[in-house]
Amino acid sequence: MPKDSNSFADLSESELVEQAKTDPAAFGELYERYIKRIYNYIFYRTGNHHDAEDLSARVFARALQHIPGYVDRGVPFSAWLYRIAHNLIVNWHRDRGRRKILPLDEMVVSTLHSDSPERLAERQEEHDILLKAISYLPEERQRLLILKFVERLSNADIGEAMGRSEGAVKSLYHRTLISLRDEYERIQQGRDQNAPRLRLPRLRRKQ
Amino acid sequence: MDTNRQHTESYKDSMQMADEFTEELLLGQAGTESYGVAVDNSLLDWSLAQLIRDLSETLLPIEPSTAFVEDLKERLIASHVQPAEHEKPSPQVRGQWIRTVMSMFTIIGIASRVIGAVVLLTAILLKRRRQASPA
Repeated sequence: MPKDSNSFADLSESELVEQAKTDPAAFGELYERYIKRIYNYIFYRTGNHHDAEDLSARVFARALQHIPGYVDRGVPFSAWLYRIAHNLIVNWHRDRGRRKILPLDEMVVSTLHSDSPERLAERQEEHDILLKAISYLPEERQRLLILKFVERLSNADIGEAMGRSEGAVKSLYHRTLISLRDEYERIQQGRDQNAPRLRLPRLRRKQ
Repeated sequence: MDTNRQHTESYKDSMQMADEFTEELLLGQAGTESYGVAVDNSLLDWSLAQLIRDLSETLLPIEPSTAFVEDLKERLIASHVQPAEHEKPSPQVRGQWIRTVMSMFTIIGIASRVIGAVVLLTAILLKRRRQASPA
């Protein structure tokens, strides 16, 4: 029975998942393949590293607990992990007892050294508004944006992950952009009305 | 009718342009102001193009800490337990057992009704025969 990551490379995902039911090393391989993706998904849905780590750990602990009963129904294994992550995030939001507003403390904006402080502040503000607008979207549309921009998946791969055709992904993406644009403008108008002066936020440079 | 068809075609074009623009941007081939100028405004709304750019700058891949990733992997592998021979059956197997038991109860229920009906009918026929026979 293969034990190192090189031998797992020849296995299909179905074979690897089947082996992971009894082989810790195989489960470790699955973990390594998906931890970053799940972590990124959770990070952008919760807005901070602490909760992203906590929930990521719970996703894989739950996956480990239930993988003996996992049945391959032709859907990617990642879709199962995303479903677990989604359910935990829903519970997380419910336990927090308020709207799904991202705590944006740890969101950083990539900076160009040539940007002036005023421009940096403007961009940070724009990013904050955009992230807030994203958090108001339905879960499926948030996931689509994360798969497309964070994980840089093609429409075909996104379709496979979400159980949709490539054409359906394109259409959903277009509708998501329009909704997001409208939400962004709504938030921006609200801020313009309420905010008398722009206070420079404490910025963290992306390393 | 022609107007509806034009709107549909325009929507499809916008959808396609948004998708292509995103793909090129993420591949690092677009992102210059001239791209927007070259694009026919009726095909891709400029505000959508700007939104796509903002998304590409905002939704960046996040690296979890190496310590966290390695520590979690160790804990998961350490807690990975081989399934025992006498462990609780999987939900699918349990479901199958439940369906089998329910089927048996259903069959027993139907059989008992049939037998009961036969017994009742027999009793009625015997009673009528006794009543019909001379004392």
